[in-house]
Amino acid sequence: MLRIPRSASPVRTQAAHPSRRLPVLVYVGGSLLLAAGLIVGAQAVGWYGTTGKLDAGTGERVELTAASTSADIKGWMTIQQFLDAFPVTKQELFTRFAIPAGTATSQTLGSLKENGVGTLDIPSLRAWVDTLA
Amino acid sequence: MAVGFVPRRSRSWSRRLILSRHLVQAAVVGWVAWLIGSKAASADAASPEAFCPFGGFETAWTWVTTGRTVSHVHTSNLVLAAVITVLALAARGFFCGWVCPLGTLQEAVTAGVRMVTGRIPGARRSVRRIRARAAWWPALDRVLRFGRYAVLVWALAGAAFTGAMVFRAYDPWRALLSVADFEISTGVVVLSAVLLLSALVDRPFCRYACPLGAAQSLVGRFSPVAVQRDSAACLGCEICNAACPMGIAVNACTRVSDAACIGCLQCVAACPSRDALTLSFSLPTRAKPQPIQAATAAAAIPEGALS
Repeated sequence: MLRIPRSASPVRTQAAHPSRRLPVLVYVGGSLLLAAGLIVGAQAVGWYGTTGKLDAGTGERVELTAASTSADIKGWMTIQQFLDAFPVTKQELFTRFAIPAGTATSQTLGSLKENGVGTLDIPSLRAWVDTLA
Repeated sequence: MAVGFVPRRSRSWSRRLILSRHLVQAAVVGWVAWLIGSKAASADAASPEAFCPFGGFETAWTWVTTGRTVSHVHTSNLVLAAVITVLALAARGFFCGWVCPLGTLQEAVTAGVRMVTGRIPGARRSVRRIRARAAWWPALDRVLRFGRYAVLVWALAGAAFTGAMVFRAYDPWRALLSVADFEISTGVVVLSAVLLLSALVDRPFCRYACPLGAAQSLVGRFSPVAVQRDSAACLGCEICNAACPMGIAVNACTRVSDAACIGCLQCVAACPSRDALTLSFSLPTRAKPQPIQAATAAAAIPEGALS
């Protein structure tokens, strides 16, 4: 038993609304289960994609094809993969984004921005592809 | 129960509560370490960034208006942002207090520094002297706390207008996840500053700059779960205030509905009185029971019942 100071109120605190004590185990266990349940549910319906390289629903590798749209362009794709899928020549791409002529087409699109090569970034590349369509 | 006395909280209960929180935090940190390791080992492994809930908030506008996500964001980020929103509604700051690995790291630094300074008499005296002289700190702390809302607005507006994550370059969480790259970036500098500041202030990033915490606290205001204080059992010792890593004056609240509350329950574990601080569930839609008025009560008693 602890002695309460004389200044303390002997009347129990009334909260603004009726409340009920919540066991800590319910709080922690319930929160963890809720979070895990939502994530597992999202995985089950194919909404939980952790990489752009694989399809969230089928788990198959994402590849650019002639039917691909600008939304399918990802930073991990190589310049060559991009050129194979869209009606753009290497010369046009390199001129548009000031990429040096000697740049290897095996480089990924994302690495160009990371290494400060030219002015290419994915949003502007997508916008440019949209204007070509 | 005698008037003037309150039951003491079991120390083993408090220890178990603290231990279970640290176990959850350790499990999350271990999982993040595994993610970083697997990404370093294989280029095809999922990027640790795919598990950042704030990426989902940043891309939400772009996703709703264009159906696309901004660069470096996957659908997992959107799902995690939704999970954080639901968790904030259900359990207030549970994610920050029990799960967030960046918060865990800051806590670890603070605990480590306290352990070292507590064992060196000279250092202990210096800390006490600095605290006594820093009377201006609470006022500055109150102003700095608005910083995280400013960061939230900047990050969300930046992502919506530019289609890129403007906060990414400064994000200490991203810097932590990219630690295997051994790159010195702005994010690494921010992360180092945060960890250094943690030696002086509890959870500095959470208090002043975390946009995810800001988003969560805005949603968490509608949560029915909060720590509740019963003044009849409160000793007025202020141990709860000292235990709170977010610097909330717990002993001044009836219900700890402060936006900064991270639901860590450190105040509950530290409180020596069993019934003073409890976790409670309260729906604001339910009306408070009105006390029976004397006239109404008298009218309800059948005539002659008291004779």
